[in-house]
Amino acid sequence: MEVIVECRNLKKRYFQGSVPVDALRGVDLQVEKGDFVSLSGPSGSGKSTLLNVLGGLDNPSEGSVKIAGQDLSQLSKGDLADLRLQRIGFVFQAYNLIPVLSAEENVEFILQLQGVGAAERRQRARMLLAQVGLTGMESRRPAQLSGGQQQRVAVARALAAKPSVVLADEPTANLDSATAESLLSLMAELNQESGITFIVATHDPRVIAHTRRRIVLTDGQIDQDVRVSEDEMAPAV
Amino acid sequence: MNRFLLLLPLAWRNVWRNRRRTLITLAVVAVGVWSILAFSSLLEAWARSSRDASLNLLTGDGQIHAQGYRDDPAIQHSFATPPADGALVKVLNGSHVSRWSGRVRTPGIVQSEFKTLPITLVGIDPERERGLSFIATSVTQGAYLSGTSGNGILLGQHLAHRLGTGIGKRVVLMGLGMDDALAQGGFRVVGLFQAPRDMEDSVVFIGRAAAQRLLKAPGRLSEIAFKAPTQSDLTPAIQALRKAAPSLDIQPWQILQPLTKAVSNLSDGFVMVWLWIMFVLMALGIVNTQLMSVFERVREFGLLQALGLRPGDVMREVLAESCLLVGLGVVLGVLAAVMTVGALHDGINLGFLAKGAEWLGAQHVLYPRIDGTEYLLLSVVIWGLSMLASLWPSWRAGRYSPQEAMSRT
Repeated sequence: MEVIVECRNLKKRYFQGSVPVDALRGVDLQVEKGDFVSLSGPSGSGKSTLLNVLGGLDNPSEGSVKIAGQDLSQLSKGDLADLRLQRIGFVFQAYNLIPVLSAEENVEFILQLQGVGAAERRQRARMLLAQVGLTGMESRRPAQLSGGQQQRVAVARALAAKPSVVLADEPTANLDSATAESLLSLMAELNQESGITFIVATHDPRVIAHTRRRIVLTDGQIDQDVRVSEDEMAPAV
Repeated sequence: MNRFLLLLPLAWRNVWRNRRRTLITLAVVAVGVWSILAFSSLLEAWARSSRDASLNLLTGDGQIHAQGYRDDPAIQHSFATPPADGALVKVLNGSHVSRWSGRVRTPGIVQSEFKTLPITLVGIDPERERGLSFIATSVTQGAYLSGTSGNGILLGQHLAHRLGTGIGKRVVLMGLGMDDALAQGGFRVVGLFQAPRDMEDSVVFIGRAAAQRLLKAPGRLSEIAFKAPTQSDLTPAIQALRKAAPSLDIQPWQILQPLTKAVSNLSDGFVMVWLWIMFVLMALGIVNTQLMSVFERVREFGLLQALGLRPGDVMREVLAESCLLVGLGVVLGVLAAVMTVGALHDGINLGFLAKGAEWLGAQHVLYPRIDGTEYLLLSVVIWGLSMLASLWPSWRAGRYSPQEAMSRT
């Protein structure tokens, strides 16, 4: 299988004032194309830090990260931005959407940055919004959408760029159970049908139940890395 | 550039996120631009009025003298009337000169039966002075001179009062003749003119031939005053005249009337000072607005970078917001200034402060004009300077790392 994400001996040290904090202590990880991976663990275990480093949003103190074979340490800030644009989709816990753009424009924005033509942009954005169940809400701005609908738009936007991998950081943290379940089913469905690789940082057991590969982080290190069979995964709703 | 255009629609919407703040900033920019442009038009009108008032007295737009006349305006420093078919007259009758006239002008003394006073004796061609100097339209009592060779004289009202003379009475003019001997002759007062007080007191007008006869200087001229159709014709006119008569001293009004030029420069200086005062106020408003806007949206800038916008693109997005905000403010300010100055197009009557206007050297009615080039130039300068002021908030927006920005609460 093609390796999409690869990191070796990844370390990240922060300073809180003058006190060093080791958020990652030598993480080795390979994620293959089509994987649906959860990163779980207690608060402070390094989930979000790992996700930020994998997405090129933060630099590691030591070690290397490769996305689709490209070593992030060799890239400038601008090149990293281009890599994120072309290869990585993000879904964050909150503040996911650009508030002055409609749902459709939020999805189109990425395509516009990629230089996709207007007609194709519109068509793809509408198709993706339909895929995430938001037909008829294309012209609504984020403030006119519920939290779950906003996250769905974020997923549609993350997929719009046809990324190699989607990184989601606590995507269900602000959602009620039903909405969270619906979003997870959507992500699982997209993973299975389109073969899109998902890495989801979460401590929500409902999310973990939908993933095929379950990684548990403790104190900045991989404590468990388990693959489960289809039977052990939660069924799509 | 492509990215900048791509970000413009987003920037436009961001401009209107906080309508009240945007409207206040727009008002600051628009009022600033309006005040700069309207102030510039008013000052320019005052400077032009002041210049016209000064140049319409006797200077014209330029003058031709013999070498040495400006240092010693005696009749000895005169020159022969140029031949009608000569190069100089050809240029004077050409397209760069609208009016011209030769004069005799020399210091002298006027004597009535009561008093003797120093004056400048000016011998003119009455017809050719029309439209060139003030005298043809300023006779308030009696009549204008009827020819160049009669023995009529025009006195200023105040001078006549000081001399204890009036219409129909005789005065004696004395001056140094061409032969270095004292020349004198009797003249009858045919008219009194009204002009600024110093002009009324210091200048008397007689016919040019009469002056040449009095001073024993037949065919001699002290000066030729001329007007150009527009100020932009003046330089080519001076160049052509100098080429046609290289031995003569040919100067524009800026050299002949340095004080008038200083008033014009002062007006430009005031506009620049006002521009900088208003610009500093506007810049403070713009920087404040943009900084507040940037600080409120740090997480959003992180999101934009996470989505693939380069740090430079984030900076360009914020700069585009300033570009649109200031651009709109400038357009509104220009429209307001055009309407204001347009409404004053028929003139501002300063009659109610006539003494003050005279003291300022201006005429009683000011005519503010819309100078398209100056408006455009000032607008572009204001807009450009505002963009410079916006660089700081824009730079701040672009310098956050995505992780740092998104972890802000």
